[in-house]
Parts: sequence; structure tokens; C-alpha cells
Amino acid sequence: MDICVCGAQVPFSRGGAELHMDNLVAALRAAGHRADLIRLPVAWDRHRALDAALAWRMVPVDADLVIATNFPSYFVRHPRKVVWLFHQHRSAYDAADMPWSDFIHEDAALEDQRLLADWDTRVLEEAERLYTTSGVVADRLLRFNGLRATPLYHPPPLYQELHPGRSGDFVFCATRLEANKRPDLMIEGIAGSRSGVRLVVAGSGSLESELRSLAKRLSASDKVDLAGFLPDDELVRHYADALAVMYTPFDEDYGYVTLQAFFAAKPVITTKDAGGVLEWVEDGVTGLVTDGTPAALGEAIDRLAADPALARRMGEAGHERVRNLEWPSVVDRLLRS
Amino acid sequence: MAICRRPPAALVTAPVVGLLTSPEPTPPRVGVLLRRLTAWCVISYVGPSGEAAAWFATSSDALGLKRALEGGAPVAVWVGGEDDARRLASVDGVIAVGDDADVVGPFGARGVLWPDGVDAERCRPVTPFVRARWRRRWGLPDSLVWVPDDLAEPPSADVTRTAFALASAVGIVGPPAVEALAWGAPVATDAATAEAIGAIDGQEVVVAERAALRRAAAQLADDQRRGASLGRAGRRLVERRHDIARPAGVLASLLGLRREPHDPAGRVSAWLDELWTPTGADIRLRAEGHALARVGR
Repeated sequence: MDICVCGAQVPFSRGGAELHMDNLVAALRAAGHRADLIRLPVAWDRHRALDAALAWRMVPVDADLVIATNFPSYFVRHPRKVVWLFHQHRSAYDAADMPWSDFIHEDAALEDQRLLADWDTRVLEEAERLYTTSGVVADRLLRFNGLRATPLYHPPPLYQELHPGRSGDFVFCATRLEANKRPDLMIEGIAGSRSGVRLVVAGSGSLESELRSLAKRLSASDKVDLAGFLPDDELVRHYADALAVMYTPFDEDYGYVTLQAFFAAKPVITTKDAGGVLEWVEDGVTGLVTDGTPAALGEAIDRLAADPALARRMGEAGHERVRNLEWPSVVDRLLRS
Repeated sequence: MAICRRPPAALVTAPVVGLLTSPEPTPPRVGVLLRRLTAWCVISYVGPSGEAAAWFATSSDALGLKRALEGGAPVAVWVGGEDDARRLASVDGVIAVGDDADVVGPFGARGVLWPDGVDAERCRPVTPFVRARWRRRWGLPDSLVWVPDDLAEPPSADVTRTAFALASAVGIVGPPAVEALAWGAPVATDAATAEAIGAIDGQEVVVAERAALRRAAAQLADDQRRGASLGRAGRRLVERRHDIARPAGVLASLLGLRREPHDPAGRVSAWLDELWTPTGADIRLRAEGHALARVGR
């Protein structure tokens, strides 16, 4: 079958969504299909976001089937459209009241928000099957658009390379250093820990210098290693050698970090408002869910540092949760007619 | 009468339907029908001696009707009553459009019945979370349950419309329930209303005894997921069954008009129409304006 995967392109940016699209195309090809990725640029200010959505209505896509992924690629018109929704335009929905959203409490902005929600609902209704990457995304779709969708979970990048290792003396996280990932919370947490465990964060982002200053201010510079970009083999090694993984985003859609931690048999320390992370991390079973205060995060680190056997048990329970995640079954579900 | 709210230039290569009018006031719903017809054509006062692909007359004594009927192009006439029907009964090929089944029925396949309904295009569906933000914007309560039967005085049409657009949930019985659904409001109603409008309990509305309507609506107001689901399905019910402009497609077909965009600007308009984009929306003005510029108008 000829299948076009459709996705948005944010120029000069590469993150989880891009990896997800690439891996989907690879999985479709591995299943014997001709698959290609079609991307159109998107902008996030509300006027150009609507323009970008309309642009997808105009693009002729000749294929037997299209799989649309994130906003606004699901506006694509095709008689056989499957949507596997990564996320909508979050500034118009769950993040509408965030400082960066331009869907403000003003008449024109609210009308744009109304229109976008109506457009979204209509084009998502066109899909012959509607999946989401996680239960969190499915819940948003029901809450905001009144549409029911089925979560379809998939394995994270490097899942075949990740493996358990020794329980080291650091907690690890691979994440972009941006506000929605809340790396500052992790630094505050490690600063409050009394165990001597360090925090290693792989990844880069606009907050890097602020985070270094924060660590210094909290007298925790020696406990924080902002390691920057790590190549895949280094990433795998860090997961394997960590005591645990700490991941504290706000309302994450899915969160590869959690899944990668579990493939490496590591428990995850997180917060009760972490969104999709909580679909995997069960407090006391596969990790520790805190109230999100630095003190609680510090205590969670100390608890695992004091009891490595507990950390191992939780990591193994996490591994058990993800071991059946694989691409061939995802492809089967997406293409089921 | 406002006929063509969309910029005519956007469809300038589309077929022209000539409008023939009489001195009598035109029923407001004719305006709605003609506005929707602009998805297929341009409607213009070309004058009785002008040229048109088809004609629409607002009554049987419209100026120029006789000449149009002799011209061979399809002609539709608004049949407002038995007098109109009598005058047209013996005219071959004329298409009769009206709101009375007894008057339109005798015209058989050339009759287009246009029953009462809601102008869905003018009711913009608002989902529960956007309603909540509008309420905050205007300093209204977080939860606003609207049950007009509980009011001492019947509310004005403007107040009713505002309530339908902004309420967390509406408890309402009788024909106005259709308009509440058109605005995408989560609606609690009684069994008789649900049956009359073709709504299913738990799918498009919540059915409750009249005495328990406020309580049912209040429960709905507290459940954003259920409200969003009912509001969406309720709106679709209106589009399918109660939109006052539904017969526009039938009339267009009888007039020989094909809904096929005739140039790039027309295609943009069609895509926007497909998504129920309001006429004055910024995105419509931007997109249609850009397309017109591209084709050099």
C-alpha cells in the first residue's frame, strides 16, 4: 500500500514528534508498504496557525491512505484518513491560559479559538479511525472537542538498544531544557537531596544558562551535570548506569523519557501533574509520584538512594509494563480496515 | 434583502442566477436560502432583459418572470400561498419553492419544500471550554445553567441567543431546543421534545422530567467531557435535520447548478464553506483576498 504520513514542520527544530514520524515511516516500510513523510511548515501565532491549517486542505496527497499526526497535518483531505494524534494546537486548548498563548481573553482571540476548535472537530471527524499517542491526549480530545479516540502506545527511540545496567550514583534525565519540561524543578529537587546522589541531564535548550545559575544559587553546582547533547550510545549507557530517572514535565503528551527509563529497567521519579508520564508511573510500583515540591522530589531521590533493591524492583516492574511495546502491532492497528 | 454576503468576485466565473423581485416584502427565509445558494452561483439583479443561467423569482408576480419563463433557462419561484400556486400550476417546467407542503406538494419533483428550521450558519457552535473562557471574559459565573422556563418573563431573542452561546448547559423544552443545539450547547430536555426533534437521550441530549430539568442541566454543566460530546453531536443533528438552508442543495440541482469551484478563489471559498467558516471570519477574508490577488483580480 502507498501510505503518506503527514506531519507539521517547525523549521530548525527536531524533537520527539519528528523522531516519532520518522520511526513510523520506517515501521511502515519494514511492514512492506511504500511510505513517505509529508511535512508543511507551521507557525504558532494564532493567525498563521489557522493559515497553516487551511494550507493542508489544499494539498493534493495521492496515496492509498494517509496517516495524519500532529496539528495541523490532520486537516489533510483524503478519502482514507487515519489520525494518530500527537497533539492539537495546545495554545488554543489546555495551554490557553499560559503566558505564551495568544488565545487571550479578548473577543477576536476567543472567536479564533472557537473557530479552531470547530475546525479541529470537523476534520478529526473525517478520520476513518482516530487514535492518540496517549490517554492524556485522548482525554483532551474528549474534553475539548467531544470526540472519542483510542490511545495507541508505541515504543520510544532506542528501545531495542536500551538495557539494564548497574545502579549508579546519579539520577538521569534526557530532555530539552525548556519551560514546559521544568528542568528547574529537577535541580531544586536534587539540591534538597541529602544522599549525595548527582543529577545528570542530557539535552540542550534555551534555559541552560539560567539552570546553571540556579544550581549555583542553590549551592548544588557539584550535584548537577548539564551534559548537553549526548550521542545515542552515551544516552544508552547513562540510562543503564543510573540509579533512577527523574522526569518532571508539566502535562506531558506522552514522554519518551519514561518509556526509555523502563526499557533500561529504571524507576521514574515524577510529579502528580506530569500528564502522560502518569499513564506509566504507578506510585510505589514503577516509580515515585511526588506532589511536585522540591522537598518531595529530594525525599524521593533519597529513598531510592537508601534502598537500591527497591529501585531495582520498581525498574523491573517498569520494564514489565513496556516489554510488549513494538512497532509491528502499532502498524497493524493503524492499518486495520 | 442581503443576498450575497460573500464577495461576488470570488465566484465571478460561476453561473449567474438572475433575481426577479416584486414590490411586496420578501420573506426573510428567502434571503437565507439565496445566501446559501451562493455556494453554487452568483445571484445578481441582472434585470429582466439580462442574461442568466437560471432565475429565481421571489413571488409569482415578480417583474420579468414572464420573460424569464419564455427564455428556456430554469426558473424557480417562491410560492408564498395558494394564489401563487394557482398562477404557476399551468406553467411548464417552473420550480416551486415554499414552506407549505400543501402548496408545494402538487408540483411533485419540481417542488422544493422548505420547512421551518434554524439558520445553522448563523449559530456558531461553541464548545464548553470556550464557553467557560467567554464567561470569564465577561465576568459571568463559572457555571451558568440556563433554564428559560424558570424565568418570570420570557427573555428577548438576543438574551436567548447569548445564553445559548455561553451557558454551561441549557435546560429547555419545545422547538427552541433546536437553536440551543445549533450553538453547540449541552442540552437537557424532556422526552417529548427529544422525540420531536429526533434527538437520542445520551447521544445528543439528556432527557429528564420537566420538573427535574434544572438539576439535569446542572449535572451536565459539571461534566465538561459529556457536555462537549453532547454539544458536538447535537450540532451535527441540527446540520443534518434542522438547518433551514438544507433545501438549497436540492434547489441548486433543479436549477442545473453544480457545486464545482470555478477558479482558485472559488476553491478556497468552497474549502472554507466545508468547515463552516463564518462569512466575516479573519481567515476567510485573508484566504479569499489572497486567492483573488493571485488570480489577478
